[in-house]
Amino acid sequence: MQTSNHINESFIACRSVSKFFGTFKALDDVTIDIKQGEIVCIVGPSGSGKSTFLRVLNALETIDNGEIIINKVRLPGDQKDVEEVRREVGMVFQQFNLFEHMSIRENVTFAPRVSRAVATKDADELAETLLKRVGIIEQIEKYPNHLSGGQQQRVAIARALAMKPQAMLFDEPTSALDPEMVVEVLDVMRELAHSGMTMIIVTHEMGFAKEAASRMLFMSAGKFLVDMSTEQFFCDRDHPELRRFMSNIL
Amino acid sequence: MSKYSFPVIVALVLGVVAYFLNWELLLSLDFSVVWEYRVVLLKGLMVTLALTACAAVAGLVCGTMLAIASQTNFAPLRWLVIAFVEIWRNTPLLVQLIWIHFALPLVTGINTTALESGVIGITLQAAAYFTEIVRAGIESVPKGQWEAAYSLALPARIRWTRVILPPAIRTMIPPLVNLTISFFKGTAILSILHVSELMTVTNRISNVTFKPVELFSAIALIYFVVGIVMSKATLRLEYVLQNRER
Repeated sequence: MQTSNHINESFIACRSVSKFFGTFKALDDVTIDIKQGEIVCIVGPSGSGKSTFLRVLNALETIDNGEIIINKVRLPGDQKDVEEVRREVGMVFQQFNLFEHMSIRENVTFAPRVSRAVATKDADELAETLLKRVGIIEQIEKYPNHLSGGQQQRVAIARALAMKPQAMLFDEPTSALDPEMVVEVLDVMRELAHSGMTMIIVTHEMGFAKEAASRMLFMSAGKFLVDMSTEQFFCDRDHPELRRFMSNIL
Repeated sequence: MSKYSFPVIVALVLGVVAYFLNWELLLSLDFSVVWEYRVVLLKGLMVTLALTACAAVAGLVCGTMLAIASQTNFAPLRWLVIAFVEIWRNTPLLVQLIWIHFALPLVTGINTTALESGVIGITLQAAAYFTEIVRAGIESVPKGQWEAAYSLALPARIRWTRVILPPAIRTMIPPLVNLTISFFKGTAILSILHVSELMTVTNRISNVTFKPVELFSAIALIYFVVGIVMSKATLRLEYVLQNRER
């Protein structure tokens, strides 16, 4: 029962996870634990495997080696396991990926109704609460095309939250936004972080990471080269690759 | 080029055309035959429309199922779909119809009436073409929509019916209607089996009244009017759908 003890400690546990795209090694023997309530920001050069890491946690990519245990469910697993993981782990995409043919209300209420069997009335109430929280309740009957990028991304966050997940993954949530819209999305994420949600965020927003994250990961060539508390991370200037990366983006 | 050159050219062309026309026949045309046989012609048109509807509906249903089947990871099923589509798309409808009506009964021992053969032929061919359109429509749905559906743990059936197919169908509407119009016109080929659709009926009337010019001109006009109504109605539908979401 050693392992089950171990599982209880961390909400997400990756053991020697590798992922190949053809011959390209996107994730190289990644082993990492993430606990409930942690706010983890992942930084690193493009193509280093950050997005792939998030996608693997949501079973959007299969893994070629190793195992991932999320909330006591093991991946790779069968369809049931995959759906179980996805219900507990929400995902926010760079391109929002709202359902264009559904109103904002439908976007937020749809998944809880069909994946969680929530009654329409309850789903509606939850959607209204969440949309108030992200500040777009006035737009509830509109379609995604009516909304700005920042508003769409906030709806996408509300949509993921409507599933009442235990953790949220953010894959460069502000990279597709105009600069003036970045703030409104980061504000929502900051508020979410304060609420105690477990969050894993791939981002280039160092200012946000510095104030919101509890833990920083630096990824390069499919490996986590640096894994530190946020305070340490922003003082550390010893790691040559990290130093080069930071000097390029700051 | 003087400003009169265009009217002069038009007048010349019309003059040449007029010279070669058979005025004697044209002046003796009597379109009352069309009115006289209106009920029979109308019945023929109904059969034509029913065949078109059959091709469109059955074709769309089969086509959608085949298109979804073509997206599976199970290779033999994919090959089967591809084989079906390619065979029906790359042989003439005329050959298919004659094969179904005259060769198939010999092979299987099951006799089909002309109407049954016609329906089978046009439906299967429609299914093959519709499969390709539906497949292209499905592939036009951005990858992000799939991923959003996956990440929200939507069940496969809901993912298809509520997330992927609605936008896919939107992009499919114009090619689907074009194809339906093609099949509407294609039903005329079924007259080879004497399926009592508009073309067959007109042929019969023409054989007893000896008025081919009046009759075939009239049904050409009927085909044209129905075809153009269908395509204009779709433009309208597209416009309405677009405005609903913008």
